[in-house]
Amino acid sequence: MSTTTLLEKVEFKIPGKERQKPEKDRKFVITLLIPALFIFAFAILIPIVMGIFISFTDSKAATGYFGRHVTIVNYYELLVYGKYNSHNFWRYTYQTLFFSIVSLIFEFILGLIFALILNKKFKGRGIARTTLLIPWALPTVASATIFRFEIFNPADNFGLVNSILQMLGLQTVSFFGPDAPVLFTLLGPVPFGTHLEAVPITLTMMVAITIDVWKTTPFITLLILAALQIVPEDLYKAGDIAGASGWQKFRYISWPLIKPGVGIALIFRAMEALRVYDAIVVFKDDSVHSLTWQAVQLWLNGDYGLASSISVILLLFVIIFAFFILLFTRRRRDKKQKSGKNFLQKAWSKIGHRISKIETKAISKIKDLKNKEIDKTQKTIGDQSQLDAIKSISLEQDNSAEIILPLELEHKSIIISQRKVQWYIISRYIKRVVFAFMVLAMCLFCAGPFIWIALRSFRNPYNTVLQTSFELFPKYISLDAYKLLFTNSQVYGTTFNIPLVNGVILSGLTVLIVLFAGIFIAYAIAKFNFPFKRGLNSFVFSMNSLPPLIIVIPFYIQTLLISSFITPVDFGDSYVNGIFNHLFTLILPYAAFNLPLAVFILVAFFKEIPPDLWKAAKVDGASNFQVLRKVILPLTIPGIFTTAILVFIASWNELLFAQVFLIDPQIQTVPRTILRYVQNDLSLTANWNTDIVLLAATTISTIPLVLIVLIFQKKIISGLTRGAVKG
Amino acid sequence: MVRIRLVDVEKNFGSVNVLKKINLEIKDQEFMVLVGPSGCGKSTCLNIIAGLEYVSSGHVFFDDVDVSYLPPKERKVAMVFQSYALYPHMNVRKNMEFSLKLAKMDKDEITKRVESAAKLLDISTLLDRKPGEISGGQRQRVALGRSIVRNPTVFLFDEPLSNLDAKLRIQMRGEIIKLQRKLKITQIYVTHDQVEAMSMADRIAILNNGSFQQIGPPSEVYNKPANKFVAGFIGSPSMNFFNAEIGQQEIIFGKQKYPVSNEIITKIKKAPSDKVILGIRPEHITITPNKRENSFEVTLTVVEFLGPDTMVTFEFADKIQGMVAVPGFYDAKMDDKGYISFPMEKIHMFDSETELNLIHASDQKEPNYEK
Repeated sequence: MSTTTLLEKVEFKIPGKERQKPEKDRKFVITLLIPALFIFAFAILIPIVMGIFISFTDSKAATGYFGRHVTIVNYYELLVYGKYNSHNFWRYTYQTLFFSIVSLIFEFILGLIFALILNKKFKGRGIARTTLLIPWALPTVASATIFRFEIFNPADNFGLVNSILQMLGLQTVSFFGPDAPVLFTLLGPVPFGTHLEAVPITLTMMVAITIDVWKTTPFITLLILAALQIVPEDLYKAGDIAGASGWQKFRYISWPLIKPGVGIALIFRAMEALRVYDAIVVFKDDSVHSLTWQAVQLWLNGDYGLASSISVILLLFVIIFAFFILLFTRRRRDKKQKSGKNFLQKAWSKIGHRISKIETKAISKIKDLKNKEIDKTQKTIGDQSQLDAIKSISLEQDNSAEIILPLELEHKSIIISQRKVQWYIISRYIKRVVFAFMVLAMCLFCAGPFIWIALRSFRNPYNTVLQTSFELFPKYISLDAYKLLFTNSQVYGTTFNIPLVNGVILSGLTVLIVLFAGIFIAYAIAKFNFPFKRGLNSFVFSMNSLPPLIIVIPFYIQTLLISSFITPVDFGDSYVNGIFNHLFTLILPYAAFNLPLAVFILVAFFKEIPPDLWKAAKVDGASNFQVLRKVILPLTIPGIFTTAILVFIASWNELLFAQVFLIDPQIQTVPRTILRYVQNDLSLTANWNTDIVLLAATTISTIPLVLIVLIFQKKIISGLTRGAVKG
Repeated sequence: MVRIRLVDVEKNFGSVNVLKKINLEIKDQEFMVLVGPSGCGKSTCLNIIAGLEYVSSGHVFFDDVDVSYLPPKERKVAMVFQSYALYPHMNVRKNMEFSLKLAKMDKDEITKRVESAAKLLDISTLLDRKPGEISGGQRQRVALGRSIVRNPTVFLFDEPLSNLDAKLRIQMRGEIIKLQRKLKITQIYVTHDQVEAMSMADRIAILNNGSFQQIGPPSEVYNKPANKFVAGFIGSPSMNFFNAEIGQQEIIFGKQKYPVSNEIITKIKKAPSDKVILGIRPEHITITPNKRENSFEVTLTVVEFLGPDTMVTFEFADKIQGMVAVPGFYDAKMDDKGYISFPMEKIHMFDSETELNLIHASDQKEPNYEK
C-alpha cells in the first residue's frame, strides 16, 4: 500500500485543528447520531409539541384527545383566581415550591456534612460509602412506604418514632391523616386574586420532605465529594502548617474551590425537586400534593387539556427557576466579595490595633534592655569611639533585621504550657471518638430505614395479636408474608414474581437501547467535530432537567395514535400481549430520559482514552467503527458497566410513566405494584395483615438493587465522580 | 532558631513499618538534607517533624520541649511543598498573608512583612497576580515567601525543586542556600537527588527502608561511606562494585588476582567471612591503553565522550562490568582493550553480608546501621 493511500485513511480529528471532513466520515457521524436522535424525536420533541398543542384545546374525555376547539380556557381556569381548579393549582404550586426549597436546603447541609466526613480517610470508609448508596437504590415509592408505614405511623401501629415517644413518656404525634398538626400557613399571592391564598404547611409535608431528603442526600453527597476530591491534598497540609483549624480550612480552602461545582449540582437538583411525585403519592393528605400529582389526577379524571396545561406551566416554572438561580448566584458572588473585604478589613484593624499596642510596648522594652547592655559596655570600655562603633554595629543589625523579620531579635523557641500539651494529646482521642460517632450516625441514617423494614417484614401476617408491644427484633420470625406475596393472586391481582420479571425485562431492554444509542452518540461527541455539536451537547445536557410530566400524557396519546395505524400483534396470550403492546412502549421514553446521564458518563470515559491510541489504530488501518469496537469499547468497559447499572436502577424505580401506562396488574412493574398495594384498600378482601405483606414487597423489590449496589459500589461511585469531574 | 531532636521515632501506617526507631539531631541554623530513594521514609520523617503526622512511638523535641503530639500550628514551622501548594483562588499577596491573618496579626505588620519578603525574593511585582498566572520558578518563590513571613522555628522543604527544569533548579538551589545564610534559619530539606544533597547540605542524612544509613557532612559521606548503600547512592555515576574473595596478599575477583596493600588486607581479614565487595568510584579508576604495573586487561564495551570527561564502560572475565570516568577525551572505541588499576587509597571494601565499610569507617560513631 502506498503512503498516499495510507495517509488518506487518516481522517480523524486532531485536537485543535479543523479539518475538511471526507464523505466517509460525514456519513459515519450521521449514522452514529441517528439512533439517539430518533429516540429524542419520538420520545421527547414530538410529544412536547403535541403536549403544548393539547394544552391549548378543550381536550377532555368527552371531546376526545385533541378536543374540538383551540382555546386558552385551560390556562384561564388554572391561573386566574376564582375557579376551583385554580384554587388547587396555586395551592399545589406553593406546596411544590416550599417542598423544593426546604428539601434542597436540608439535602445540601446534610450532603455537605456527609461529603466532608467521607473525604477523610478512615477504616471502613468503603463500607460507609456503600451504605450511602442504599437510599438512592430504592424506588422512591418504596422509601415513601417505609416512612409512612413503619416510621411515622401512629403508635398503635408501632410506628418507630411514635413508639419511641411513647416509651419516653411523651405525647405521640399524628404525622399524617386528618389529625396532622398544621405547623404554619403560607400566604401566597395569586394573580388576579382578591386575597392571598392560604396554604397550610402540615407535619405531613415535613414527612414528605424527609422522604425526599433521605432519598436524595446520597446523590448530593457524591457530587460534593467529587468536587472535594479535586482539591489537592497539599493545600490542606499548607493550611495545617499555617495554623488553620478544621473550620478555617473548610471556609478558606475547600469552600471557595468547590462552590462552582456544588452550585451547578444544586441547580439541577432544584429543578428535579419541582417535579416531585413519587415521594408524595402514597399520602392521601392534600397538604403534600404537588403539581405533578394534580396533573395526574386530572388526567385520570379525563381532563386531558387541563393536565397538559399544568405540565406546560411546570416546564415554564423549571426554566424560570433555573434562570433565576443562575442570575442570583452570579450577582451574589460579586457582591459578597466586596462586602466581605470591608468587613474583614474592619475586623483585622480592630484586633490589629490591640496587638500593635502590645507589640510596641514589647519592642520598646527590648530596646531598653539593649541600651542597658550598651551602657554596661560603656562602663567597661572607656573609649568613646569604640562605644560609637559598637552602637553603630548594633543599630545596623537592628535595621537589617527590621526590614526582613521585625521581631526576630532573640533566639526563637517554642513556649507552651504543659496544660496545652495535655489538651492536644487528649483532644486527639476526643476528635476520633466524635468522628466515629458521626460516621455511625451517617450509616444509620442511610441504611437504618431499610434494615428496619426488612426486619419488620418477617412478622407473621396471620397473627398480629401476638404483638402487644413495640419490639426491635421480631420475636417470631415468619416468612408467611413473602409466601403470600408469591402465591396469592386473588387479593393482589398477580403474584409478585410477575412485576419482578416485568421489571427485569423492561429495565434490561432499556439498558440495551440506551447503551446502543448512547455509545454511538458519545463516540460522535467525544471524537468527532460536526456542525451543531455544541448545540447537541447542550440539548442532551438540558434534557436532564425536563420534567417527565410534559412527556407522559402526549406520549400516551401518541402511542395510541401510532398503534391505531399499526394493528397490535396478537400472541394469543394476554400476558405476552400486555408485555409486547404496553410494557415495551415504555422503553422509548425510559431510554430518552436515561440517555442524557448515560451520554454524560460515556463521553467522560471516552475522552479519557489518549488520542495516540486510536490514532495508532487508524494508522494500522482500522475504520472508524473498528476503532470503536476494538479500541474504545474494551478500554471503557468500566464506564459502560457503570452506565448500565445506573440506567437499570433508574428504569426499575420509575413510577410516573408506569402508573399512566400500565393498568392491568399483570403487566405492572415493581414500583407500580407497590403503589397499588398502598392505594387500593386490599385489606378489605384479605384476612391477614396487608401492611406486613406490603413491607415484604418493599423489601423484595429492593434487595436485588441493594445487592447490585453493594457489589458494584466502587464502580458506581467512580463512574459518577468521573462524569462529574469531566463534566 | 531551634535544635530539633528525633528520639527513637517509629512510624507505622497500618501494618507497614515506615520508620524504624530513628534518631536524628539537627543543630541550630544547620542545613540538614534528608536524602534517599523513593519510599525510604524521608517525607514521612519530614511530616513528623512538621506535625502533619504523629509518631507511632518515640519523641520529637524542639529545644527541650516535647512536641510529639503538638499540631503544626504550635510548632510554628514553615514548609515548602513539591507542588508549592499555593491557594489557586487567592492572589500572591493573600497567599502570603494567609497564615498571618489566621494568627490575627496586625494589618500593618502583615503588610510590612509581606512586602519585605517580596522584595527579598524579587516578586514584588507579582503580588496581585494569581498563582495560575505566574511561572513555576515564580511560584516557588511565592511558596518561599509564604514561609519567610511567618518567622518560623524551622524551614522544611519537601522536594521543592523537583518540578522545575534543570537550569532553573540550579539557579533556585543557589538562591535557597543564600537565603538560609542570610536569614540564619535551621533548614531541613528532603530530596531524592543526591547532587542537590551534596551541593546544599551542612550535613546529609541518608535514609533507606526507614532507617538512617549514615549522617554526616558531604565530604565524609562521599569519602567514607558507611556501607554499600551509601557508597552506591552518593556520587554520579555510581560506584563500581565487584564481588571478591580474600586471598593472601591480594583479592580475587573475576579470575583476576589483584594485589592490595597490607593495610587493606589486615582490615578486611577482620571480617567474618572471606567474601568481600570491592568498591571503587568511576572517577578514581585509572585506565590506559597499555599494560602498567598492577593493572589488568579489560574489554571496552561503550565509550561516551561527554565533553569534560569520557565515560568508558568495560567488561572482563564472566561479563563483569564496570565504568571509568576519564577526564578529557579518551581515544578508544568499542571492543578495544584497556588496562585499569585502582589506587589503594581510593579502594573501598564492604563485607559481603553486612555491607559495612571495612576500611573507611567514619570518624563518628553513628547509630543505626541496620538495614
